Amino acid sequence: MSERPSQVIRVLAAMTLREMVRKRLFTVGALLTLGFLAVYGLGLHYAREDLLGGAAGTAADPRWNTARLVVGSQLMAVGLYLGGMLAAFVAALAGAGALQGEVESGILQVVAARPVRRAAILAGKFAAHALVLGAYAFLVFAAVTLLTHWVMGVPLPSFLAAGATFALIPITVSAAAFFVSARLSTLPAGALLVILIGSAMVGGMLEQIGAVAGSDALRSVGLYTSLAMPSDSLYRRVAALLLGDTAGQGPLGLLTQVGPLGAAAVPSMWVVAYALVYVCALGLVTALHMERRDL
Amino acid sequence: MAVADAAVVATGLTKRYGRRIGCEAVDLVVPRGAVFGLLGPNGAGKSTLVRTLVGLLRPDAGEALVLGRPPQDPASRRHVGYLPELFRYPDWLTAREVLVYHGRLAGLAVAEASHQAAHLLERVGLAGRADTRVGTFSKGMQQRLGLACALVGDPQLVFLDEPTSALDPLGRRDVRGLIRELRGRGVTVFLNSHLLGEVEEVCDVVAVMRGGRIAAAGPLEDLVAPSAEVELVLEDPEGRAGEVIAGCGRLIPAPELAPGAGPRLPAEPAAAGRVHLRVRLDPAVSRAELVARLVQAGVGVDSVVPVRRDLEDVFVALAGEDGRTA
Repeated sequence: MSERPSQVIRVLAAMTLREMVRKRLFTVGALLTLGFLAVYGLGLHYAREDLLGGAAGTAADPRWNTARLVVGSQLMAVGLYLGGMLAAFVAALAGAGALQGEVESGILQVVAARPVRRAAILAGKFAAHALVLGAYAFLVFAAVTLLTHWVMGVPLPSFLAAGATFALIPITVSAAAFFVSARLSTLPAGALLVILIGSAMVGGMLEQIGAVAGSDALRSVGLYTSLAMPSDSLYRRVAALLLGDTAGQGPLGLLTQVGPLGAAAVPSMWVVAYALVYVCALGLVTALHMERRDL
Repeated sequence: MAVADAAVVATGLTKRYGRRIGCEAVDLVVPRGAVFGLLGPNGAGKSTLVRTLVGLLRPDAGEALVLGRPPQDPASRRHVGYLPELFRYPDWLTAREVLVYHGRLAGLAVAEASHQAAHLLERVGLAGRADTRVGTFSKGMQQRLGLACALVGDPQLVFLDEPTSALDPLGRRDVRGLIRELRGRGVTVFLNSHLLGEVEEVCDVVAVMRGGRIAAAGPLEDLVAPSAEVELVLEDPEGRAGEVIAGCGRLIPAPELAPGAGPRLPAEPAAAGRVHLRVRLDPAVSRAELVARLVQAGVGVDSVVPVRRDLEDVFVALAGEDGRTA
């Protein structure tokens, strides 16, 4: 017998996935997401029918096309924003009780008394959360963007890069959730995470307003909140990847990106690098904390 | 006891929770193959000691070796089983899945883990509930599952922290049988229990904790060995026994005797006739010498029975009233 970390990580990850299935997290998540997508699809449909006149024959009309792109882009931004928020909150709620909650219930002690490193336990659990939530976020992203493309004809440049970036949103929240959950019990951990995500959202909106208004102070607010929780910055990067090329760099490009959900202040590629460093750094600090703490 | 080949060795092991003492300066040696009983009143530090030895708590001072390795090294737990006092297993798993899961964490292959799970469920009387979710189990059934879980991976050392707290008398008997079976296979059992009768029945070596420290430790036979007290039945028509006894030790007055410690004896020897007494001998005086002096004084000695203490007497004497914290 040995305490091979790879086996422990696999076993823990498989067990965490099984837990998600048995506790019907998948079923409930899938049903709620289908509901969200149904509402979004209806919104798209009626936007096309009522706002744009709906007739296919008007596609040749440049004004109709412009309106279709602007409305479609705005609706896609709303869909992605809400989808990202949904994934972020699911990640927060799933991760808030992942460590301290199990310590308080006594479940983790029985596992930690096995010949396993606590860091391996953490890695196994986090791997399962990251895998499931990342896949979930990508599916939500794909559903929202493809629906928009299908109904409104909005082009989808950099689809895969944007999807991968979108999948990082719940993974960064998960990393923060594990970091907080190693120190706080479920309820305060959940509350703290919700506040953190909310602050990032507000910071992101202020940054957009700052970009349009030319306010460095508002931009700084966005920068600092994104350092604490990069979920909103990742969303802005996704928006920039998808909408930035919608109509080139002309006035239409500006129209598709302005507003609190747009990407007037375009995050660079570094936001993705920062998110990856953020996940690794929080994972490392959490692992060290778990190795040293009493259970 | 040989330290080099011991299953557990602790030297000055100390764990504090802020200002509160969990356990302090614990020196302990548990021989391999022994059934070791750890006793003590509530809050004495028993569970803290066990949790430190299985690596869940980090000691503030001192050292420990579990099967030759420090508890912080996961390899020290390669051959260790543990049933915690507050056991809880994922309620969304079946009993079989819990054991296979722990078998996998112990490094077993899936087939071996499944095989062991079936065998252990049979052994703890849960074979009929193997595929039932743990969430539907009673507390007693969960404790049986915990026992099975502690035995996954054929451990050489098993820590059982209050293993019968949720069991009925039949379940307790089963656990005693299980512990004897483990001893027969050479497995070291570290039993933390409040139930003195249970410990007395199955343990070879016992330690009593008080206020976080080890108050006494040693083979059970030594701890409950005949004491310096004797019960006497004398024929003393001339009332000479009192004088002889005063020169050899002191009478134990009836109020000092524990309930059920034999016949209620008179506080003073009768002036004449047949008397029952309990006497605590001076260290320098043997029972034979007492008898010789009584006979020499013309006292008839009908019987001299050394008083044998049971574990409860030892526990009460060592833990004492001030040892109770809960």
